[in-house]
Amino acid sequence: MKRSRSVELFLVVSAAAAMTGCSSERERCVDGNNNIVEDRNCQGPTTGVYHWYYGGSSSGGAVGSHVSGGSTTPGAGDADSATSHGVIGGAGEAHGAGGEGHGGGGGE
Amino acid sequence: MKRIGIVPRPNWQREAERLGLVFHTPEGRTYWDESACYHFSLREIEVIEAATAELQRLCLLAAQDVIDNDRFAEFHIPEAAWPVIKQAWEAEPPSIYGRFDLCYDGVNPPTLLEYNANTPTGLLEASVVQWYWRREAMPATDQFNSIHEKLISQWGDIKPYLKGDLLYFASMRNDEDAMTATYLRDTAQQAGIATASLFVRDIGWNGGRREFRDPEERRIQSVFALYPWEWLLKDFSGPILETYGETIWIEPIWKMLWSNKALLAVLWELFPGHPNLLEAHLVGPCGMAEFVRKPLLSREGANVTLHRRAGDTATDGTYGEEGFVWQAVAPDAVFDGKWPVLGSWLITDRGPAGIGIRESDGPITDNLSRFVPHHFD
Repeated sequence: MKRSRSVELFLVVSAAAAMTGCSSERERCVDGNNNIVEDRNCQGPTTGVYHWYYGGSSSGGAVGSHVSGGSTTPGAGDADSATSHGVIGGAGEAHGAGGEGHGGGGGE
Repeated sequence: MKRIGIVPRPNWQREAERLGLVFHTPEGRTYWDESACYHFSLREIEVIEAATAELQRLCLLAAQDVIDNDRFAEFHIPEAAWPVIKQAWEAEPPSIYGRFDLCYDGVNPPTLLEYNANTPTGLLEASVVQWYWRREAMPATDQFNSIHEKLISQWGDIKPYLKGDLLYFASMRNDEDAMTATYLRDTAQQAGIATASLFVRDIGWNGGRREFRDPEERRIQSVFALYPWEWLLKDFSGPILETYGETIWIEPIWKMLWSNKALLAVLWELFPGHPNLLEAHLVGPCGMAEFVRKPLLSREGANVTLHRRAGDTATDGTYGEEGFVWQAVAPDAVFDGKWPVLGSWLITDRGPAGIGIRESDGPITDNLSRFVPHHFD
């Protein structure tokens, strides 16, 4: 059969270029003392001390090193807004990830 | 159906990344694996396609049975959501896709392992990356793959039913989910829909105006969320149910009836002995000497127990509080010591659209399973 088939991408290509370049804010999975642990500790429904830590810097960035200067929330919200973001049920994205693929997201 | 060892393209990482597959080697483990591929005959592809269409037909009947007989408790769905699910089922709001996970050995009929009808991923890999792989590595062959054009076509049909100026694509922050949502957004844009991206955690609720808002305070009226409904209900339960009729959520809330493994038991109850189904029960193994026990809502192979006469194999995880389904063990489909599972894509109103194959070193497909491309001739 060997159909000719046009599969063109636009947004994906630019997003991929951005993701494989320098990221402006990276996230790391840390324990209660802000020491970096493996990402899988923050994936799936999170309980206990592990959480994502956004931005900041660490010496080396490897598992076990300390991270500081960042935040437990990504970016900064508008504190004056009457709209509450990500805290509606208190859970935000506490579940880890949303798709069901290979990586511990909300997808599969 | 054969597994063929091949030499990966020398620049495969760059090619994959260029097409958005930036997560081809997470934490140093190969996920996109083109050191092998699966070969099918046209006849086998037709068998898979027909089984996918048939399973969709059965699942529609099963969901109707759940709706008609108020069987939501068997799915452990919160009672507040029941009337909203019923309304959504009747109203048929926009839907885009789902992925059947099938066991197939090229000889026996494909059997349904589960239906990822709410937040399936592996989409960019199946739709785009393996197509470009085929063009370069296997140009003389074909591939069961019209996912991309069917997505664009379905978005085109959905467009008149959307509300507001923008269709939002919401995901979690990890690369895989964000890129899958970006890919779907890309196909929607190609169908002429104005779109925007945001993270699920940035979906805001304005309690005064009783509406969802984006971080720039624009009202959200149409949103695709790569985020399971049971999590949406935990995070936004009151607001989301209250405003469901005013907001287009894709996938629709009634997909909770398909993405829940209680569906497998309902299917078996309604169509016992169907060649594309495996025996399944909600109360226990019901006399099956060998079985697989799966949580109703687990993802990525977590908390699964495979009980065989020779002993148990189990995966850990944090799922299972909603209960379990006991499912018969599928016939062994093992190629070169690997265990493939076929992800068969169904684009809503467009039918079966193609397959992606996940391959594991053991019988339970999990988050370490690799994506292996396929072709047929």
